[in-house]
Amino acid sequence: MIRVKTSRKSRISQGDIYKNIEYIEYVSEKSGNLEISKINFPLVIILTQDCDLVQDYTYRWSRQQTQNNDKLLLSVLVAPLYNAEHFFQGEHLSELDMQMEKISKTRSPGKYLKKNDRPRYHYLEFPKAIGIVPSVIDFKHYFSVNLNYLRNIKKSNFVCSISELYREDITSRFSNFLARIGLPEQKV
Amino acid sequence: MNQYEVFNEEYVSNSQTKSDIKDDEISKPSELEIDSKHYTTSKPKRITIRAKLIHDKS
Repeated sequence: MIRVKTSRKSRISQGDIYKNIEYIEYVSEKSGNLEISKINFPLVIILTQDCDLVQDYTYRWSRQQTQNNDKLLLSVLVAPLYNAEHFFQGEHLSELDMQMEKISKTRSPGKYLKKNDRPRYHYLEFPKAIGIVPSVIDFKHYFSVNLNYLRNIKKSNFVCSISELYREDITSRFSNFLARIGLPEQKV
Repeated sequence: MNQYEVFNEEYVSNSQTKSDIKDDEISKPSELEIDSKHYTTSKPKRITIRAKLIHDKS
């Protein structure tokens, strides 16, 4: 089980968890007709490095006079949290018409996943008081969120913040997964 | 100045429950102890908004 903090800082932090975050898939306009497709994710975790978030916050909101905007971020990186029960059934993206792999949680694939021995996934169990069911992060799923959008909904959508040790574990595993080298399969 | 009038917002989703799970070892939805306090009982949903551009003559 991980440790979390429920106190809300004034700034966005690495490891923060927010609810009901929108991801814009596309915006199209044709002959005056506008179409916007978006996905609403029940929960996401902030993956952007905390030092970058500190610098952005300092320079964006502190009214310090700076020579340039070098420290400002365009967006923050987030990853969705999926309900682990839905995930093991392969049904966590069924509302998006996506059938995912079923993983038996009582056999090796699921057991390894719950011990975080599978590089693609990160399994999380929260303290009961937080009210989040066991969840899984799929490191193949991530997107960016506009900072102003996040700041505007921060007060109402903040859920909790994963404490430093556990958030570093998540982002370290995430960066290792992204940095993996895909070698061609060897034909014997 | 152009404005957009939202005339249709719809959930483009497949909301029916799929009951084709055969592996007995995989949890069924009935096993979920769904608590209304839990944030993660819902799944990601796609929403499509369609709007028409209105030319504001002012």
